[in-house]
Amino acid sequence: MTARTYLGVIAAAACLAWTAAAAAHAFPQQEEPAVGSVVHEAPASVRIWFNAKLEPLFSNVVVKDAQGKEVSGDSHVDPDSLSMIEAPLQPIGAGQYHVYWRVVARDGHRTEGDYVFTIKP
Amino acid sequence: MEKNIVQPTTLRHARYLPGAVLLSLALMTPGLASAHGFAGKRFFPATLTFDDPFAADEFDLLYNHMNDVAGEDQSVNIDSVGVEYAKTITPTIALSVGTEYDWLKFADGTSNKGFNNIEIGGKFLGHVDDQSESVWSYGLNVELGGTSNHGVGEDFNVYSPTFFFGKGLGNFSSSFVRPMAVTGAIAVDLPARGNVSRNLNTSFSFQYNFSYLESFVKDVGLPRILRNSLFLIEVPVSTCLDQGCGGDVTGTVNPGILLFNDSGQITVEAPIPINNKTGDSIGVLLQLHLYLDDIFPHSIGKPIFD
Repeated sequence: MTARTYLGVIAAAACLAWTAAAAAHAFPQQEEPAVGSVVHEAPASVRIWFNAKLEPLFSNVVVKDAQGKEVSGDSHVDPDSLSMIEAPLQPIGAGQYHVYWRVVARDGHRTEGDYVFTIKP
Repeated sequence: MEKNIVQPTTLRHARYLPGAVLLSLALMTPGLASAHGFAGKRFFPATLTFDDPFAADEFDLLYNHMNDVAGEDQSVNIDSVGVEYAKTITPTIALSVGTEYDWLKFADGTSNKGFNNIEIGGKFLGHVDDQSESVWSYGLNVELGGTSNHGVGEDFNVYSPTFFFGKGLGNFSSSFVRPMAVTGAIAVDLPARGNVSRNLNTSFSFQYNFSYLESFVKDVGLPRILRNSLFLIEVPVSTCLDQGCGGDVTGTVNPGILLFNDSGQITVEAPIPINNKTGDSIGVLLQLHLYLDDIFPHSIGKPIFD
């Protein structure tokens, strides 16, 4: 084989490996309420969708108010998709709320993050 | 994991091009760079022209094209394709091996092509601070002289100790600044032959991470394809330290866009020479980079010793 052929084979193998990935670091793809948003009604829950399947036992979401008091219940991963995690919220009023999440993808890789949203009737 | 863009390549074409053009070629044939990782919620992708601070399992394929690279006697058009494989030995120690195939066309009509020298590297991840989104590491890269064919590479080793760092700006109060991050590498090329010049390579990348913006700062409703992307500018600069070229500086400014998912990244950059000693033409860098630790987390993608 020529050098170009070798490189072509390498490129093809790399593309195959790219498409073969099944689970990996989980990156958030969508949030409800949206990151940094101002909403006019208190949501019943916070939901975050990821681009990978999650390990339910090691993934969680916590929501705190401006005083640092936890206002969310136990979070759970959607059993059907395994890629969405949801935390129910207690009845909450106007103010700024901080969402903290930490998830473990099915391959064991951990990712974490946080964001705020504001309720302004 | 690999060497800085502006180092051993400086020496590869010495038999063809003297003086300043060696510096130019060093910048225009980037070799490979890789590594990716997290510091807290900050994702640092693999940059193209120099290595990032993390030790990781990965595979890198990089194409480089640049016309009219400046020289004292004549210019040269360069095409190269590089490959590199990096393997973690422990979670904080990684080894790498790579090479590249070069096509060189000189202004006088002559040309040369062939595999360049094999390069090996080792890196130790010094510290990762999740709160401050900072990371640093150090490593040593060695270009193995005499392992090329068709005389493309040199016949002596080049040793390149390197310090790597990365810092996210997520702790800033400004919503505009928080998605930004800076990474860099500082390396010295130490050729194993006394009459060959040493080089100081200082490389930086400035990154604006749209994923960070959308996920942690403000959902501005970007299209899905941009949600997992970064705008970045890489600036690799090389300074010749001695052997009659002391103080000569060459480099490029490489604006680019990087798209990533949970298995790898695709990046395209446009290297722009910073001066006439570097070249006169805008080039192209195209990278396909695989996160083997994500693709094969239970086999070749995990450290040998956990």
